Amino acid sequence: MNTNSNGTGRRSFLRTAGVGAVGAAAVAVGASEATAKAPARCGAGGGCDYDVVVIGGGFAGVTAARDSRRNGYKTLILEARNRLGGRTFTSRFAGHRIDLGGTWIHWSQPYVWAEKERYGLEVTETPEGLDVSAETIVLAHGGQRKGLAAEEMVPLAEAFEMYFADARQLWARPFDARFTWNALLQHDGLSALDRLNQLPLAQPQRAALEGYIATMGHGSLRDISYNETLRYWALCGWNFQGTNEALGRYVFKQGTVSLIDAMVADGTPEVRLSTAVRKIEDQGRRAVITTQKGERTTARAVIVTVPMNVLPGIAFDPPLDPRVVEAGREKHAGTGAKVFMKTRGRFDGPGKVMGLGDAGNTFSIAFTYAKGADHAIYVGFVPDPGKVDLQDRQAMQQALRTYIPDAVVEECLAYEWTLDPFSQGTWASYKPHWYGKYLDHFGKDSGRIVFGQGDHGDGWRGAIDGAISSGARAAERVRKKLGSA
Amino acid sequence: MRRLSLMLAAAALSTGTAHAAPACDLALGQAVFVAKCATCHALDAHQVGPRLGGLLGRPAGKAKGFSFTDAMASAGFRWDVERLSAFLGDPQAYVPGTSMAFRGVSAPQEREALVCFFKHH
Repeated sequence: MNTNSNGTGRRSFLRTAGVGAVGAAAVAVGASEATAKAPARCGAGGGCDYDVVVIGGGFAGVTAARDSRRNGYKTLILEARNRLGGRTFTSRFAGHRIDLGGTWIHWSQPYVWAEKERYGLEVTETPEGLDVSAETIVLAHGGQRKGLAAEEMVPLAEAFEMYFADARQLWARPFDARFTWNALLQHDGLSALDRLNQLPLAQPQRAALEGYIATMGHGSLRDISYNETLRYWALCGWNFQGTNEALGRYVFKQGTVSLIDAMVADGTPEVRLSTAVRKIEDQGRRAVITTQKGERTTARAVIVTVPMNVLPGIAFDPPLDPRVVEAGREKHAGTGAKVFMKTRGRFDGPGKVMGLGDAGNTFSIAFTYAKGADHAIYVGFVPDPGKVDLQDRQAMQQALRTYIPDAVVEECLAYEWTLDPFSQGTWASYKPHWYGKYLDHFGKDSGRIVFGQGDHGDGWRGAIDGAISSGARAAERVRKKLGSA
Repeated sequence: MRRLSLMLAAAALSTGTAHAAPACDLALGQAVFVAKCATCHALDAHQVGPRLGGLLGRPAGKAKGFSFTDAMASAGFRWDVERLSAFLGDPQAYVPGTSMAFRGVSAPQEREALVCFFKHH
């Protein structure tokens, strides 16, 4: 968070930008050498190049590859971008380390927290040293802005209790949709907006819920499934405080890339960057992977970890389940953006400002992300990036002033995951009707092709934690399939 | 005389180098580069995106040691001021299929300043 301690001045920054990518790529080269020395084990299996080829080098893929290496398999990651990390991307902005994609972790997220502990990685608060008791909440609705006193929080808390009232019934076990399957199916068609419309809410209550839930699902309230919002609430302990802290308080001190690096250094899989995949075939005795540039690689098993929205762009033989292709083309609800803004002037005090507001605002939520000597960094969540220019600091200043009236935005930055052909969206939130339509179809292995996508699976799917768990479970199924190496 | 001035104008257009650059807002250009481009690019080395030092005059999608998308590799032009400005305004419309996840710099003054920065680096 601190800018000057590591000597990253403006001039050197021009030359060594993209710190996240540099770290990951450097490890990948070393890993590649380590793997080359390991014995090739798949000769007996029919002359394969690798035991396991992992498609996609985000948290799901890196976990699947790390675990496959630990299981003794010769393993390769094929990654389309010129960096590992997928929808996480540690970079720098205005002298601060930031994460442009997935960011926050918490001990209620069991897989990622276990990895943090395993590798001894540190976390810090957003902003660093945050005193939650000094947090100021600003609510914007109907063109008005209001800082909330403690007693004004009570009706808002009641509104959240109202919206999430059935969460215990629908998600008695948030890692096990089958346990309450019938109840979930009954509510499957309901969007977050439908649910809001059912409730007798006062305007401020409605505004607070709109802002919070549009951020949770990172998209339009119409597109976000009600069931999905209740899943998060249940995972976080069925209360506002828990949800707030699990979703937006703790970050890796050295960025998400520090965990990617640790996992790659531990597992030493071979890594090929800038290698998009065109086709994956299961030929019975082996799987064949063909890259966009036409190179072919053979493997005893393939673990597919690419985002669900990207999957239809890869040819499969035998073909993918048509429902999976249909869902990928329809795309999940996560279509928003996260904008970083540097504002002029020091943020005094131990707390932060958190603004939330109704669907009429550009930012559904915006809050203090970091504090500098003469500036502050704010992060704003934009559920509908189509209606505003995220790269225009004037537009972002105007949007931030909804919550911080005197803010002067000097710089702004958003990584537009929806424009990135290798993600085509942000974190996955299912849409209404998807449980009945698609849940049985997602993540179903077929022969030598195993699915470990972070968008799917139980628990924290869509989050870093869900990616790690999906990758780990896929690697475990491959171990059972291939037997001991 | 008229012919000579036309030739000079043509030469200035075709080189588009620092020497031909008119006065422009280099400081703003650098600020825009640092805030937006440096997330993925550096001037002297390939990062997530390709090296950007000396971009003007280079053929698009052809930097040694960097793996471009087919879309950019087959763009078939050299970067000049006009093309760079159009690309930076809306990268995905100018080179459909590029993997650069950036909507573009819409403010004309900032885009001009960014092009100015590339003229000098």
